Amino acid sequence: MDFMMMNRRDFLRVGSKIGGGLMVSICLPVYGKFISPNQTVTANIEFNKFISIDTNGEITIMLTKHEMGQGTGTAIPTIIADELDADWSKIKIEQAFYNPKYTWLEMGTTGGSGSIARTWDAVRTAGATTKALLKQAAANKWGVDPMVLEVNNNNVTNRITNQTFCFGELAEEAAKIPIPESIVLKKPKEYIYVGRSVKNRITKDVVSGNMRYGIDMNVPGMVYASIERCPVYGGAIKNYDDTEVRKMEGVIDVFPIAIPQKIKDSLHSIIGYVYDGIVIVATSTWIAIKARKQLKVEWDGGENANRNIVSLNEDMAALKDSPAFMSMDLGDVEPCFQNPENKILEMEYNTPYQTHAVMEPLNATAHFQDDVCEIWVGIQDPEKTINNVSKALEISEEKVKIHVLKSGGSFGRRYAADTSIEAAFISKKIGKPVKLTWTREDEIRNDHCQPYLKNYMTAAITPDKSVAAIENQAICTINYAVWSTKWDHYYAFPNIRCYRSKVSTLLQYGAWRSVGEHSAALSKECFVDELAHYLEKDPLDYRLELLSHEVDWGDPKEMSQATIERMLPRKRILRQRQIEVLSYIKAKELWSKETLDTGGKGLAMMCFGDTVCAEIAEVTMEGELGYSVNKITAVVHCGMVINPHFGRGQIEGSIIWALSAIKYGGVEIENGAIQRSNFHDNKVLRMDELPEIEIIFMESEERPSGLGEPGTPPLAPAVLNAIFDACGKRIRKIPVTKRDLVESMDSIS
Amino acid sequence: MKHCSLILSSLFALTACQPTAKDKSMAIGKEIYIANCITCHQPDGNGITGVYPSLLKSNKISLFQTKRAIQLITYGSPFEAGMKPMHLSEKEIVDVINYIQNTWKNNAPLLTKSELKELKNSW
Amino acid sequence: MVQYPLKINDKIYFINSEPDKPLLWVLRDNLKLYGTKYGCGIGQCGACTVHLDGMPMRSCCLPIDSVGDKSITTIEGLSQQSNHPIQIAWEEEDVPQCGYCQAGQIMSAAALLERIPNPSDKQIERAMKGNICRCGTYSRIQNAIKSAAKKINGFYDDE
Repeated sequence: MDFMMMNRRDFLRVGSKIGGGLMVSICLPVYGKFISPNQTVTANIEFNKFISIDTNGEITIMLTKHEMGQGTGTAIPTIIADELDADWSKIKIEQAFYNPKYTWLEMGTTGGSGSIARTWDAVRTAGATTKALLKQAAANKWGVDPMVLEVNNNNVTNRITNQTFCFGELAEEAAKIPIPESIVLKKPKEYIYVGRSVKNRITKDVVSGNMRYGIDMNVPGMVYASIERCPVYGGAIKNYDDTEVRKMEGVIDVFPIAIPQKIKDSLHSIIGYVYDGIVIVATSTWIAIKARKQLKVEWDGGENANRNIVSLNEDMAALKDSPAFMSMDLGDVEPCFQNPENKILEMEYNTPYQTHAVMEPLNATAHFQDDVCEIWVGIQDPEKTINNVSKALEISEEKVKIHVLKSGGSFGRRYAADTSIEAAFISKKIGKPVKLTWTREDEIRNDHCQPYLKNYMTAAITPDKSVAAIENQAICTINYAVWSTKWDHYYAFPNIRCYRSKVSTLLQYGAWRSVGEHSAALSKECFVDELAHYLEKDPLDYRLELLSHEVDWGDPKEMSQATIERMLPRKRILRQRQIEVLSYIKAKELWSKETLDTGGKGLAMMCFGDTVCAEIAEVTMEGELGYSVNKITAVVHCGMVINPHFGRGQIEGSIIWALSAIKYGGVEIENGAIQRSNFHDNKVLRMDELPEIEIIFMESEERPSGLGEPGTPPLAPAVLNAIFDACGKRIRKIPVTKRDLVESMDSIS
Repeated sequence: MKHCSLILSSLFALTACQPTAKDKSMAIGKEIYIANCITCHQPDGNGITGVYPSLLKSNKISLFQTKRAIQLITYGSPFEAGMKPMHLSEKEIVDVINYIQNTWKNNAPLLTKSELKELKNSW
Repeated sequence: MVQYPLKINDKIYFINSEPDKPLLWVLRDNLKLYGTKYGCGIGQCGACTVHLDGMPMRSCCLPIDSVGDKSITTIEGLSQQSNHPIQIAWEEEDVPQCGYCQAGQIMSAAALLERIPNPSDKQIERAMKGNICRCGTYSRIQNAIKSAAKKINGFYDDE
């Protein structure tokens, strides 16, 4: 929305392409920055050929996002091609080289399921403006009014004379025309590519084996590195003996990597954290990995070496009665909890640390020469990476160049700059290009995990069985607001209070597909299910009842302009979408239990960004884990769906991601170190465990919101609620093991 | 006489067409072996000398060996460089053991899922 | 270092290598055949699957010394113009998301159809169980294998 407020001519520039043709440059809005209608934004634009058209009609679109499996590398160009009325087969897509000077501001990050949601207006406008320029160029050449012209499939046609120019013939002329005052964007009905399952551009290269990821980078003369890292977060090297390693044929160098505390303090606490370790540089990846077995290292694990999950749980529970921060206080909860007639229900929910296990092990290739560090890496946040590499190497940001390569799955892990910092450090030290590869064991043991959340939910229930107040206390290993429940996005309880506290973390944390929403959804949606059960109401009807009126946000006079202009309208959209999704489920009888012979059904819903996703899980109490998830039905409201095939893939993938966490997730920790190492003990879902998955997108012509993550959060609570429905046992955590089913407390009923 | 041999051969055909429980389990086990075991233990079950052990047994396979196979597949080897546990269900473990124990020159009685459960409980 | 003649995608390569170096790293580091991917190094994920005399093998666990004169096929050599029925079906179903595991998936699937030209759903699950996909493209993989099998076996649904 912010973007609409900007004057189009502030972010678009037109010029001639070197060697002939048209070049349209674009500056995208600052990520997350609120721009009020009266504010003028002056963008410092340099030419960056966002869209360029050759005299032979070939169109090149620069991809400013990191393609990591989410499909935006194809989806964003289809939006541009659509507004441009281009021939899709004549479109070339090129990865943009990240350069902060180009003010590719939106390229600063790829994540938060926001690639399309945040660039939607900008890229459409760029496409439509380019089309308007080509149309005007044809009008000038023929000396006619542009109104009589039609654009279709890379051609501009004169409706009266039937004469045609192809885009290539118009490119030179179009480059001389000033940006038009106004342009018309297409209406949803007019789309030719948007809303259709255009094939993914990477598929051809993937099936032929020609697709190149970060790990496939080859710089002439490069050597290979592997690092033995401290297994404990915050730990350091005590001493090491590399005598045997140095004797090995193929080993080039061995040295420690330990960023001095002073520099460490200047790096980003999440993105810039680098484990201390011993680097082995060798003539091949295999020798570097093999040589690590000959290394003798003694670590100083520091404080964390004395901790494990049990002690972490105790540390968290100890904070319960002394919360640090009140994040929400609507109405007056106090009297409701003090009233002796009210029944108090309190439940504790736990969502553990989670590993990523992205398919392509982490890596980075770096070449430091003549004071300039060039890095080739698949990464979600090149901007912060440049900043952190420059600080770690003590060189200026201009001396760090990042080539963003495709990656084999990211899911939040590639936000971190750790691999880039390590590779840059090694290359600087040895004066050669180097490819650093993490082993799978490194990737799991030194992961930047999903934070641990312990969430206490309390409700005061009146004698006539209605919820008077709700309170929740989120105790987490990170201090992010998203980890506490944003009740005001969801259910209108009359009085709401939220606290959050932070406990010092045991593991390094990072983003994990659907971040805080995953953890918050489990506690919120399981608790609402428990309340519905206690109040003897149907879980679906109860949710609709809670959504039937707005949360009382208090006096508008006390709200900031941003809250009134941006936050409240957004909350209203979310509420509306939640009502639509649940009403659809009710109307289509997807929640009806008549279809179920045995087992149980569970419902849960969560918002992620502006997308709302509800999921219904069907389980039976059988199989080796004691339960089996047989079917998932997902109903999604994300506005317009740009590419239904990609959209279904993202929701299906999110469900499979979450199901892996439900069945096998969490991590075991001893002496501060992760006890998992590879796919045998960090299990993930395999093909034969796939449940039946049905996905329904609500029909909508509203602007698109994200799809990469919204499918993950509702799954765990939906499955836990289904398990309760099937066997009457309340499990309030994941993973769900056979032991949990045997040991779990009886339900509150 | 001619009549008799006809009966005999059709009897033979009848039994040949009806796979035993063992045949069925082994056929499934072969596919599991190919998807999970074949790289290290090789198509001929011989393993790779000095790296991965052979699965060929010269003598009759004992219950102890079956138990050890189940343990290895379920929990992996206690040695760091040894075999890692495989992500297989109990039924799949039964099938793959039936294949391994009755292929090449190996020979063992049919292992059933309830026997596997019994063996697991006896640890 | 020992010199090994290796037959890869119908070409003979002479490789100088330590005997215990896994085939995966020979393909990737020595020959720059980057289509075969490193995923776990212990034969648990299937990303590095190649064919050895037609059998699907995890190249991360295969010491080069054990390969002998067996014929190696990687994703680059599965077909002349990436037109193996499995590859065509993969394109038609638009299977990949990130694509990283897909070379391994394709190699396992192609080997399956060599053994069982018309596999049942259960047979597909069994043969593909050793290949992990973190993006969760499993249902598309199943569809692609079934559609390739139909084409190979020469019958099409009229629906």
